[in-house]
Amino acid sequence: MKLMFLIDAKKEKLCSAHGMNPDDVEVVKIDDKWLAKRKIILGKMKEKKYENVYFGCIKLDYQRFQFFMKLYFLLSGYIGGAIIDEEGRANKFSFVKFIFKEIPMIIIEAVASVIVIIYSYIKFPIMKWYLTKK
Amino acid sequence: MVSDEKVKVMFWRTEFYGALTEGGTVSLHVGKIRGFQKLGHEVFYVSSGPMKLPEGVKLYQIPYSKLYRNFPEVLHPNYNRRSINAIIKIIEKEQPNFLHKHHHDFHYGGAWLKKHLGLPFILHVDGIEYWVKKNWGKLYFSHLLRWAEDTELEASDAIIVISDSLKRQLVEYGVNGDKIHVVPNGVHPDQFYPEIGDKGLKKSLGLEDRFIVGYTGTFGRWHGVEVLAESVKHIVKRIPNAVVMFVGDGDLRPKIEEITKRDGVFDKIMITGFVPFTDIPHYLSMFDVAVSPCINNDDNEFFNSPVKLFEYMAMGKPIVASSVGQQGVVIENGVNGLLHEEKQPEELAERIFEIYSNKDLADRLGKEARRRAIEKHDWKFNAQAILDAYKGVVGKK
Repeated sequence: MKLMFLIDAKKEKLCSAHGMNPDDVEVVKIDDKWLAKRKIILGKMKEKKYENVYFGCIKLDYQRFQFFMKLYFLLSGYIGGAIIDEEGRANKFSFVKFIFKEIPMIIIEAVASVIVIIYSYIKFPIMKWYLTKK
Repeated sequence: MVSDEKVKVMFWRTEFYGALTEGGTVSLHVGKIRGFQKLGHEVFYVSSGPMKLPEGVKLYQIPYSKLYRNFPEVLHPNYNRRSINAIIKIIEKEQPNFLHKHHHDFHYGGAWLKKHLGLPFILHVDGIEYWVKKNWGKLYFSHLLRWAEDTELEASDAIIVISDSLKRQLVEYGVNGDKIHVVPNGVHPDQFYPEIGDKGLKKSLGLEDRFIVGYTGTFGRWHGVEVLAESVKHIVKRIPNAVVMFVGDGDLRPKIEEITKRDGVFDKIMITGFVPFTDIPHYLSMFDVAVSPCINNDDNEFFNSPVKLFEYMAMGKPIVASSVGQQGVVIENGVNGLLHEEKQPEELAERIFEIYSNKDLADRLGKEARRRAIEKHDWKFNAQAILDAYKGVVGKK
């Protein structure tokens, strides 16, 4: 039995696009904000021994929080896990890629995010004054 | 002053919604766009993601940056610069008469376009983002959110809201009430009509001999789906062959499952998940009674305008709705539907039973609902109200 966390996507479309038997897939519907709920996600992954675990979304290009999905694969030990979409594409977990690409990228993202927020705290009040002055 | 000449409207949706092309916001936008088309006007649509639009409507996508995808809200402030730079080129090409923007968090692009291009700016507001995040979600970067929200609300030439309650809230929030126009949501009676049929759905779902109590919509905070879930045990006690169908999906789905499992009636419900917008009339066609058990918010009154209510009406369905906010105005108890007190699952079940046990009442309510949907709630009236607001803005200049 495979475990699939569904984010807005449809099980039938995902199974058809990835050649899976729907009867062999246990589905848990989640909102992508639930990825912050570590106990729920990890708890479900560790509830029983699955053949594999997937996060299923509509389109990979538009899916947020993919780093954290991969982190769950690592923490749960499902290193064959993948993020899949309804168009048949898959973003598979790779330990090497995670260490050498995704962790550096999340650090860059974190630094860039801090800069964006600081910049916005300066810019937004100025824009408010400028855009609303008569 | 603008005469009755045809106009070109630019719709702008700035929220990040992934690749989801179903749900309430889509129904709202498609409804309005078709309303403008019915009146002979041209529309194009600018959005951050894919969208299923009516034929003849051009879609321009301005995607969010791929860099900011792992931390909450950070992607939004950055989208201002990105989206404004891109939309200027689109405006140069399309030359719209005015901007109709759906209000979303951390974005001040409408104010920017008005200031720099002089584009008349009509803002659609279906909730004060600061309030929504604070009460229903998580509030990060609250100052940024308020600065952006205040900018848009203050700079807009006119604001379209969906209910009187929301207008009151905006005025309390400090917005000039003179520029706020109350325009409830609507429906296309030529798309939602009784004869459309279920396209074989009832048979394929094995529900041919069942009494179907139906709900459509997102399972969000104000929709009252928990109340409906709580009422299932009362419904099946009185109507043993009833099935309660939840057409949609959302955050409260686990709550529905938890309640009905606790009450031992999980096998009496059906949750479809999101269905394509074009299939919703077919699902509605199966319903014997349609329900809208919306609830007030914890510390303020219900301010929404449920699209589902107008769709039920246009389908000629007998409706049971809670009496909160606009629902208590649109539904006249015993005339075009039955009302119940909010958060009263037993009373909801009782009203459903009244319809189940009185076919004449069900027919009468359904016919009157359909008549009123055609006469008062067609999306074209909504589009006309926005055009009137635009004409008012241009007339003043």
